[in-house]
Amino acid sequence: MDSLERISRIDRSLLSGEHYLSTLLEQAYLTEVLTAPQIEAVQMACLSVLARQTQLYNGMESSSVRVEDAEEILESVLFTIGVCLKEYGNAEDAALALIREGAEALFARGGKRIDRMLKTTKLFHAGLVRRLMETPNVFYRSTVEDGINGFFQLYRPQFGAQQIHITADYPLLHPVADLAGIEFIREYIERVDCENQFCTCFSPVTIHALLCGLPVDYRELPLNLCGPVLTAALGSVLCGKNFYSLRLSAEDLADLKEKLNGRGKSELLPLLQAAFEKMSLALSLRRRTEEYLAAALPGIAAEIENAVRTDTLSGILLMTRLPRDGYRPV
Amino acid sequence: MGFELGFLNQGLIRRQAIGEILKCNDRTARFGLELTERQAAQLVETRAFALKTAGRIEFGGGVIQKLIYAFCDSPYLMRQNYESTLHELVELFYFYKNETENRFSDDELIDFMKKAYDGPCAGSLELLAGRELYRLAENLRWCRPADFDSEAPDDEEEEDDNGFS
Repeated sequence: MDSLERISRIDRSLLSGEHYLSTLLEQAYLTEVLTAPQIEAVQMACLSVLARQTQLYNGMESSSVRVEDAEEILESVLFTIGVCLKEYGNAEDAALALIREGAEALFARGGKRIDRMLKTTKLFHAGLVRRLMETPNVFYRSTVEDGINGFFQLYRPQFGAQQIHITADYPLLHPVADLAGIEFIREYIERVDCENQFCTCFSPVTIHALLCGLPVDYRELPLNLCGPVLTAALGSVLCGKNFYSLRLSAEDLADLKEKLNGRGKSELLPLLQAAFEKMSLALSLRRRTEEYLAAALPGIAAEIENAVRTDTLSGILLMTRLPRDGYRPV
Repeated sequence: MGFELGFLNQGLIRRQAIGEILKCNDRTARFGLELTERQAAQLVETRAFALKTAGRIEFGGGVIQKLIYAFCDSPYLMRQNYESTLHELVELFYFYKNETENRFSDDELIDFMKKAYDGPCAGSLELLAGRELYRLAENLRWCRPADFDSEAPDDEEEEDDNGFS
């Protein structure tokens, strides 16, 4: 036995990352961790926090506020308390903390945690921007550098802790879901960092040549760059070729089709996993990056299975093509 | 489930406001002024109606609490007219908060109302509404000082009458 973890009556997997407090209260009620009067007391305490926050929002000049502003501020209050409650590993303990410690104290702690996250995320972001991969895709740098900087300028956790403000146009291999505010941005940046670490193992010219194999001009489109690189690298390993070049010929694809023909996803996945392990060992990827990229393998296996069956492997395993004007460094 | 989980449900907001208004009795009791729970609830309804038309919301005791604390020591406020006066004051407050284009803070407007009520209005809500507050809003619209009185005699005319050069 490795650890003795207290069993929680509340299943943490049923809680929303974005609306943690609301879903925690709901589950606490359904599992009878908290009674109806206790939940009402929590709601009243949250309203008191909201009352104070709306006064601060108005600069202590007015007690009333527009209904839309009140809703925003309330979301911010609930989000902030939720950030604090996530620190409790056991969801039942988190629910009980609402009674024992009170909304006011949890709100204060949540606010401090958000401030800390903001500071560390800014530092992390600054480091990521310095090592950002070179690519002519306009969305990559404009989102990761300019967009995220825009978030830091607009973010006001006191009254809008749940706000994201930016659209985060650059799509990730695994989009961030069910998070808000600084939590969303932090997770987004960390995932970009994983993708960036992987992609910077390949030369910008090689990646550019690969993505020029797409039927559209990838430079002006918000499309994920990591996915095609990962798929091409895995395809190269499966073909027994040097994966750094990401280069697959028509003959390679024909051989691969023959090799994989008739294999279902359950057979393809172990092949891909073995190829990935070989590659990640050679690339010395961080564990977080390895796990992040490995999570894409089932999807890639399904794509390959379908492509082999429909003879469209060239649609997912791109053949590199350097355009006439070559590659212009960014 | 026997209750709503919505945080902004009116029942909770109402109960919170009533609770805070009743706490005011601790301070106003020494002036012989107290509100019952029913009276506090009705004041909250008056406030909610006034706020609804402006698309606004208030939490806790809010302006009602501020009015109670400001006016409780007024010589013109008695047990007999306490509740009705508060209703009028709440309605006047929100009406003139709008009429003065939110240029005054809650405390500034309440302060003006109290001074006028105890002073030139001598406890008359009609004078407070129809003269003092009306004049305040009109002066603001015409960019005049808040205490400008258009009906007051002109100083220059007085000098002419007295023959001063």
